[in-house]
Amino acid sequence: MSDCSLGNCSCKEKDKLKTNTSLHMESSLDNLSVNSGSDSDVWGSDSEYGNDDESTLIGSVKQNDFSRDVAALKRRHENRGYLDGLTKGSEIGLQSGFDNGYPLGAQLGGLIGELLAETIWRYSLAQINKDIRDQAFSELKINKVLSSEYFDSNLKLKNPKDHPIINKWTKYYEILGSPMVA
Amino acid sequence: MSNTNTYTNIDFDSLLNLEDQFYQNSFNNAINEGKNHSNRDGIQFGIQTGFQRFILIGALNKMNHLLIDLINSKLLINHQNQNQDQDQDQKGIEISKKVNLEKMIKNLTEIQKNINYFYNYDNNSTNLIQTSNTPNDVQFYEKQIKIIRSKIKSAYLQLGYKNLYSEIENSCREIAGDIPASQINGAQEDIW
Repeated sequence: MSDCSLGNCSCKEKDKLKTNTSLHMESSLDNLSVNSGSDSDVWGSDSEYGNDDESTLIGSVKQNDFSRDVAALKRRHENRGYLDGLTKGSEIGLQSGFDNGYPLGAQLGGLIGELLAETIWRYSLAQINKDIRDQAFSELKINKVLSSEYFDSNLKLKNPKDHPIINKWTKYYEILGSPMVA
Repeated sequence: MSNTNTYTNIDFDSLLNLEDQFYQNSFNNAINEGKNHSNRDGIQFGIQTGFQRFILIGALNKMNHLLIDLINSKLLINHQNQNQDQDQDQKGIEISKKVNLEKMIKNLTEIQKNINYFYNYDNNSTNLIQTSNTPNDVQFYEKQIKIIRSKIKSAYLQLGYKNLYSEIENSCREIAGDIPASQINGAQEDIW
């Protein structure tokens, strides 16, 4: 067993610890009551920490905890709202964009289909050779016709008939004359 | 009394719905951001799908016009032949040909009426397909394409163009590619 007189007793250590703790508390209180500089910007207004009353301190600590909780709550719900809003907005944007683009695509598809039928017909009547037929098939392909260079920044076309590829082949067949056999 | 009044003036609902407020404000702001972000993708996808769906209508429309013109020119020749001095047998053949040609013209004209629904010719002078992605228009498309396809197959057979329809259909596929399966309501072969 240890002897208190030897100076290495644990009860002395406890006293020392108690003193240190109370000193630490006091200095903390001093800091809180005196320090109204940069910290006050973070934790609230000067008046909140204007006196050294312990109940005010506890109140302000509780207030801080509350503010932190509200901030965390706000952040959590804002994040969730943002993600849900983004998903919902994407769905709406995709659908309304699809609805806007669909009629133009139908018109372009219709015009390309007409040129395709004329190509098949003229080739079957030997009015065009295989090279011309293959060239038409290559140029009328969807990836060529829907190339972004033919559309404005809003993906619109003033008149689908003025699409350069459609225009080129329409004029080409006009020059060849009627596809009917005499 | 005054305290009671003060309490009744506080909107407790809004305090209790703090979570909803935070959520809703952020949700409303993000919706516009999401809309703007995906709108362009939607337009591109819409143009592509419209193109893939209506290329066949355009091709059948043109082919129908070509065949009507062809039969009309044959009818003209037939009429000229009938006016020439011919024996009775030859005249009988020409009359029989005329009946057949007129029947074919009637069939193709019927098909043309079905095709014209997509062009809305009555008040459309642009000769461009008039459609939209509304459920009614999509349903109408799916119904009409089946009718047109079955009528055209038998008309082409009558005219002696046994493989013409499949050639048009395959060419449309070659030009426009296949519609992704997820975009099709029903069996894929219904579209074509």
